[in-house]
Amino acid sequence: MLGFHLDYFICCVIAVLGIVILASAHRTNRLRPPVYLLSTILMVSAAALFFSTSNRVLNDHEGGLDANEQAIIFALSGLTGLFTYKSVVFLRKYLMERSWRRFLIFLSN
Amino acid sequence: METLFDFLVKLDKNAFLFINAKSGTYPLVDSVAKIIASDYLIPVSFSLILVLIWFRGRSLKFQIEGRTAVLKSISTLLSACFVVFILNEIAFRDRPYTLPDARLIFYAPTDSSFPSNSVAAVAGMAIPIFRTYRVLGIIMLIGSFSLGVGRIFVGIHFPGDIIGGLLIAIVSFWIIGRVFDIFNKQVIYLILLFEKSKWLKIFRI
Repeated sequence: MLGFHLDYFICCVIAVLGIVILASAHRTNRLRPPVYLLSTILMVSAAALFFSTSNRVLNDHEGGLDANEQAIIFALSGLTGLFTYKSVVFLRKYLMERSWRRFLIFLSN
Repeated sequence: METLFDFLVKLDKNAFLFINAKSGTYPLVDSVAKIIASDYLIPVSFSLILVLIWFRGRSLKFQIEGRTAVLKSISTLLSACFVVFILNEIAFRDRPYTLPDARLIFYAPTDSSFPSNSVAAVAGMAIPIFRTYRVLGIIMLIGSFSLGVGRIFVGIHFPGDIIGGLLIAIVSFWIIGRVFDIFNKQVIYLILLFEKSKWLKIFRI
């Protein structure tokens, strides 16, 4: 795809997004089958994307990642996944509020 | 004593050759084993489980319980890796693929075979979670076992290396458990700080 490090980062972001959606639904008591499905699809597709696009059985001397690089990239992708999730939730709330406002204005007219 | 050591080494080699004998025979099995034994699938899956536990707590009590388990898990992982690093500096054991009858279907690592760093790390992550959350812990222990067997199958570890890694994880967990008992109040304070601080709100969901 785009180079080993970037591939790992992108796939980790997708997987973290899936797990954050699951955790958020669990926390707010809104764990429903579609949520399970969405988070499972995100996590499985991240793994499938990573392992199917290139040879991932590589030594860190031959282009693979060593343990430190893995830890740093995973932490960065965790933060990126978390902020992506928060941005989507914020945007959704904002758009819903706006559409409600429009609807109320429409009713008042 | 030396005879017992020789007997154990011989037993270890025979067990390795028994597990490794079928590698390279079935391409599908080889592909699955390579993915399981890789440095990415199991460690990243375990990290995702830690992320889940960190964020999913509904009440403050469950949040403290879960986050303490996650902190213990990360600390055990780090201390297990440190012990492996020290042992690797003291003693070196050749990788099993150097044996004449061994089959290698993975990349060839050049560092010491004993103890298994990857198994020490993932078992170090799994054991503290198992102590707090049985179902997730069992899933993680099965994952650690699969990683160990996978790494023997692909030809880069002896069974003794895997057992060594597991023992290091257990000892590390015991030490970290004692440390957490001493600093329990401070750990809870840090977790509460994370949960209640206005400035850290951006890191919460």
